[in-house]
Amino acid sequence: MSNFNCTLRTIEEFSILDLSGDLDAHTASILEKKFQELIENKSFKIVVTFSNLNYISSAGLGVFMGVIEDIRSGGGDIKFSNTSDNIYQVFDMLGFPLLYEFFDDESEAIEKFKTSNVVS
Amino acid sequence: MKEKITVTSNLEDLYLVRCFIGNAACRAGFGESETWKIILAVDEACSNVIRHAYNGKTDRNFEITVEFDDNRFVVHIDDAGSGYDLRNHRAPNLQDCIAKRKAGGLGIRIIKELVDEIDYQQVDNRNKLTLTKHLPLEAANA
Repeated sequence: MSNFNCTLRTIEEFSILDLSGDLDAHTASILEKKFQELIENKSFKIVVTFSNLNYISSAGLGVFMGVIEDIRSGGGDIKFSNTSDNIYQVFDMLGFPLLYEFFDDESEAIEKFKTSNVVS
Repeated sequence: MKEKITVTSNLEDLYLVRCFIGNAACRAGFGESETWKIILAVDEACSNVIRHAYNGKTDRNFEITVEFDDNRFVVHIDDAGSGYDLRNHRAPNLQDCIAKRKAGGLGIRIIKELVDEIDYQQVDNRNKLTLTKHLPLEAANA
């Protein structure tokens, strides 16, 4: 029996989603629901951490594709952090690094959100 | 070496498929990274069987057979759903998927990327998809 967990934390105005377990075609709906809640609450600045995620398939990646336009049109973004080599390989294979930002840890992702908001 | 597992068309069983394939790939001599690729390709193929060939019906079943020797690791996926030859599928790119808000077809792109050979046949109203991965030389010579 696979397990998947998606835990929400908040740091300042940023929503941090910690994923753990296996994100596959069976469990992707759990993540989708969590994103819908964030969008309804207008929490558009989201960092997803993968340090405890064991597995991801295209169904999991599909969740990020399905919500990104709503999140960006709300003035936010999804940024990814702590991807293992295996997990990053799947994102890379499908071209995600061209359209999404990846960071070594969540603090770098948050910092990027902050510096992107600075008007020069 | 030949082993078979029968699973239901419930997405929950994908976990069993991954365990079965991962175990066999390790014993065949693949390292962690290659094992991971085989697991992912087979998971994507089985996910397609459940969601498309069986159209989400959860009360069907299908068989996965693994055969391996010193040179090749072969996975046969045998189902009785509606047929589809994924070799003819033109995979969409990521921007198309974002525009349509769904990942349809990206699983097939992953399969094509990760295995060395793909074969598909329809025999007696059954779909027989075969995915083959060549063993690295160092594993074959070990």
